[in-house]
Amino acid sequence: MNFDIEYVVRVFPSILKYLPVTLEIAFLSGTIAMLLSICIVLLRRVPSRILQAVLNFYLDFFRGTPVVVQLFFLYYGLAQLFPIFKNLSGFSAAVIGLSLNASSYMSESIRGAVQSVHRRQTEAGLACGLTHLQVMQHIVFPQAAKVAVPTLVNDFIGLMKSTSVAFVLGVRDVMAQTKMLGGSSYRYFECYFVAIIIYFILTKLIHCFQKWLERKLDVTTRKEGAACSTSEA
Amino acid sequence: MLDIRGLNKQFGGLHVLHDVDLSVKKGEVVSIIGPSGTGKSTLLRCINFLEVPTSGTITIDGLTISPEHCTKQEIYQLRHKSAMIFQDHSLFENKTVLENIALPLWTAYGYTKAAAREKAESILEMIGLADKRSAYPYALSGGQQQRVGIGRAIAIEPKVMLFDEPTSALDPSLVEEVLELIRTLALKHATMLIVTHEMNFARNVSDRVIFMNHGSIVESGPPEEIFLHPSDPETQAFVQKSVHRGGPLVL
Repeated sequence: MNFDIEYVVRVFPSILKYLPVTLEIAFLSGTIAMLLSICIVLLRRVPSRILQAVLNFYLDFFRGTPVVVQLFFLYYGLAQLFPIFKNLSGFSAAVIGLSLNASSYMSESIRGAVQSVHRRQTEAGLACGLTHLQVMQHIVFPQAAKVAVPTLVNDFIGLMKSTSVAFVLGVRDVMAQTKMLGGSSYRYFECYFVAIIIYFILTKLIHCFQKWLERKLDVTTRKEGAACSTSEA
Repeated sequence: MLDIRGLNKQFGGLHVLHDVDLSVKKGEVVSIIGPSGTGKSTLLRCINFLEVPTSGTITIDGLTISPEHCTKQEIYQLRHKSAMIFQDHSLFENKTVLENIALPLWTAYGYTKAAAREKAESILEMIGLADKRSAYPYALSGGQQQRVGIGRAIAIEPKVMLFDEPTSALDPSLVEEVLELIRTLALKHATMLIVTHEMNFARNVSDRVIFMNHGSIVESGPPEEIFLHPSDPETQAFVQKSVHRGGPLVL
């Protein structure tokens, strides 16, 4: 058994070449999931039993079943039932599936953060004549953001890592490329070693971004005056 | 200016307000006193529908609303006619002092952002906190926070200002600066409804004092009458106890 460092160096660029695909799936799904989550959190406040039951089912379904099964179900299962889904590319299916899945986790993170903002902040906003939506937009969400960042970033890291299952739908990302190279050279250890390094560095970078964001959102560390101009802009 | 008729509020089986009738004239300063838990705060919170009353009508400046049939739009309209000052100031924690005052103006009162800022600046001058314009609420003293809370309320030029125990959460040494500001407003003939435990203040600043107990208005009259010659035994007992606790009334 020998570890072929030269092979690692040689194979690294050809795996790294597919990093943009992984990033694209992650950020696209992340953005869609984020928007969906905000909608879910807002819809959670609508007093309709039917709507709440639908939302509960949605959340239970996506959190209660494995993401690989969901992707297969979406890509192969639904295509059999509804012909429209036949033209769906593996990439699109992966983005859709991962977005829906991540939104079920992210919406709960946001909901928890929103609940952490004291009710009196909402009351003060309403008493000042703001509408519910304005209170959310200007007062509750900005305050919830600070609380939500650590968990949301964790959710995003989870999403980023689960993009590696997209290869099951034929998407050629970092994982798919690694698998192929490993299969053709039989140097599995080296190939997966490279993949692990890539995913690990990616997670670390996102983690640094989280620390930065947390500092930025904390008003107690903001400089006076500077914050005034940025938040009004 | 403000007219409340037959107001009832129930929280489940708990009947908090019983058939409250209350009118406040333009420019009148009315203080509401009474033991804790008698529905004073609930009464105020029903006026701007932070609590939806069970029955009755609220009229402010010609707009009448009853809880049985009112639209969201009407509730927003009603809220635009009043401003509330909270016990714990409830400043927006994510906004600077200036933004706290300016935000309602440009979001809910049709000001442009520039005009809102300009107005907020002038309010800050008035409440003597111009140098704190860029500070966040957490960095202010309790008294300063409450003054900003009052400034935020003044800025929207409400028809009636609702003070919900504005000094109860304050350090005794900080109470005076807040009361001073409220006195200034009273002199400017702002219409105010003040729930307070500061008996001397209620006596000095109000045109009328209302004593509430067990969810109803027991007695209402000029401060001298309520504090010196209350006709109702409940009022007598309460005033005597409060005076005993808070030291002699300053005449």
